[in-house]
Amino acid sequence: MSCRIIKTLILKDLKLFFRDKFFGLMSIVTIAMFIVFYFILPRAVNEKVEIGYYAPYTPGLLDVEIEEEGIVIRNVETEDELKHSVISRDFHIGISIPGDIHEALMSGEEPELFIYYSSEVPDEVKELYTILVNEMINEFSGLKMELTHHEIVLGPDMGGKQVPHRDRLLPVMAFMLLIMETMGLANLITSELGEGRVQALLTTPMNVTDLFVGKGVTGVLLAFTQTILLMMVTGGMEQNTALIVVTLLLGSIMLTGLSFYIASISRDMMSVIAWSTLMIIVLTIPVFSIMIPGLSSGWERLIPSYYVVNTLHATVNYNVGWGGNLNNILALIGLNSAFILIGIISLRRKIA
Amino acid sequence: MSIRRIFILLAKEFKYGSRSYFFIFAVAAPLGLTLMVNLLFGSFFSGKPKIGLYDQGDSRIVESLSGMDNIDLRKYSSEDELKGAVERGAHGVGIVLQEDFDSRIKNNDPLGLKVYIWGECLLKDRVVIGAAVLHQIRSISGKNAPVKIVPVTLGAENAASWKDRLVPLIVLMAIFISGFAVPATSLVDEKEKRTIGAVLTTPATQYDIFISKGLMGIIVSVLMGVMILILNQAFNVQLGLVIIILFLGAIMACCIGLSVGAFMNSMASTYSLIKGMGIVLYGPGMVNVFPQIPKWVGKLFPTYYVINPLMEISRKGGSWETVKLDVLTLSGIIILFIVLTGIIAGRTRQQEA
Repeated sequence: MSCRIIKTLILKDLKLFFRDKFFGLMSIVTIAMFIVFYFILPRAVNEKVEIGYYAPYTPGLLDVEIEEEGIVIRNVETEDELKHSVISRDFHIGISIPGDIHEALMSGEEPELFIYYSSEVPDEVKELYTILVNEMINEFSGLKMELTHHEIVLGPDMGGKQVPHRDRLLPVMAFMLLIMETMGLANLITSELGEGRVQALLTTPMNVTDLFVGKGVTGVLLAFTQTILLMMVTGGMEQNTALIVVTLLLGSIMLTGLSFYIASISRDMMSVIAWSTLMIIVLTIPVFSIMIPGLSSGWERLIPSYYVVNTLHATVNYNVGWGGNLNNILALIGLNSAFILIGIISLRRKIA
Repeated sequence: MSIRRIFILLAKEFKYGSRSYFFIFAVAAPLGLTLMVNLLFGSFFSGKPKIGLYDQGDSRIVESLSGMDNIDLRKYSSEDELKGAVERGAHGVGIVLQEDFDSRIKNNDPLGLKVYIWGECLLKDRVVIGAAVLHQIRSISGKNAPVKIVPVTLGAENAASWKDRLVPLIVLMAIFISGFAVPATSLVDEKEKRTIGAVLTTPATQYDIFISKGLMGIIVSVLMGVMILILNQAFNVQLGLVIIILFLGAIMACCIGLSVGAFMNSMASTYSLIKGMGIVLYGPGMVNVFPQIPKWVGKLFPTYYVINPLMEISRKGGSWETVKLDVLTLSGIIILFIVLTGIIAGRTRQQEA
């Protein structure tokens, strides 16, 4: 194995990759799009029900502003202000307590109490909020139920400190970038094989090991640098930096092995796209367990990409360090060995 | 230019082009997305709080909660099952009802509830689930404050569900993947295989080739658009108007596709461009997904004038009067695109010559 030859090969491959201006440009555009998308998404999860109320004729009903777990109640000065705040979504709900509520209650009538919703609130949510307000009124009216809760929180209690959607999506975006580069590298190898350039290179002092190391390093460089850039710009590497770098590196190696395999079974660019699309669909399944945690039922652990996305998610969003991710890292190392081995064997057969 | 030759070439397009990856992708991708969106947003992303319930007895609460349309309830046959489901986030809250729950309510005995809460359950979901359960307990106990609550909706428009927000994106993809990618890749494929040169040695002209490929894109695009609208229950009485707009959208897509195909020389570059142009073509659909983005941003994309009238008609019951400005703008854009494509086709002919 010659370092000089490998270096030359890497430089040649990188030059070839970026010679196709579209592949080069698209790689930059894709990262830029992911970064813009990240910053467009809300930076926090609003998980409280904010209620405004207007009750000028019932002093003492709610004199203080309440801010409890899950509910924020604020007083407003006028009915118009209440309506305006609901429309502008400062409040989820606006409660207007009528002036004749005392008289109505005293005379045994059923007084009407108005609840304002923005038209942007879905119907099913409106009904639930109406039930919520009803319960609050029952509580204020002294009609408390003799109910004792025995609450058990399963998993870390994220109430009040939920992971924003954009941070939840960050490991997903990083993984998607890795996958995209798989297709690029597989296409590069396939076109070289198709045009006989690999065979020509093998007539030089370069041997097969140099070829695989060179291609492998190119693949890892292309995928790894882009994901690192994404994580750095979005602030995803502020904690557990070393662990994130190692995970992304292992992910890049895994997908480089996969791109070797795809290149070995593809004839041209279109078959690279077809096989890559199939692989992408399978590898993307664990991503859904991060986006929609309820979907997870354990079987996604059988898909190798699970160990990349799960480690990134735990590290970036829950600050889980090396100890908590050791099993994932070990699994990744084992899987990487298998991916690279299968990729090299199948590609070597094709070259032969 | 000959009509007969165009149709011969079109038949050839359908015979050989329909086997290409992009043709299959153009048909499969929107159908797959529709299926996924319906599966995901029909249940998983519905925004309804999710409750798991294990009833040790035979409480009426279970039936009452099942009858509520605004919560997503699932019953379990053991506490361990319920706990496992809550632990992995299938439900925000899991409730265990004790054996004599209803009789305790009726006898005013102290009630005890064991509640499992998933750590990532939103605080507001915890609150509203609690209120919903209490509401059902009260309906058995009869302890209710004598107040009538009148809900009043303020503002003009109704909120769109996640599914409704995504439909424009899928419809745009259906129209533009077929209308844009199919003619573009077909043209480039012929250039790569040098079959285009062979065809040009016959009486067929460059215009015949462009029109036949464009027609194929338009036909597939309109068919896919109609199919996706039907599958998403977005096809209403304004059938004729919807088809006209789909047709105009398909023309715009195929003009862009043909222009791209004329400039590109390799499938790799074309594929990269198709990926990259996604943001431009599907921009209005993406703007629609995120209400935080100002609506005027969508108007900057030419495809806005395809999707906005379609959605106005299918979702808001719009008519010609409500969409005519968009349709006229779209027609103007299409005339511009047709002229540009014609010029490009003419120049390509000169280059081939």
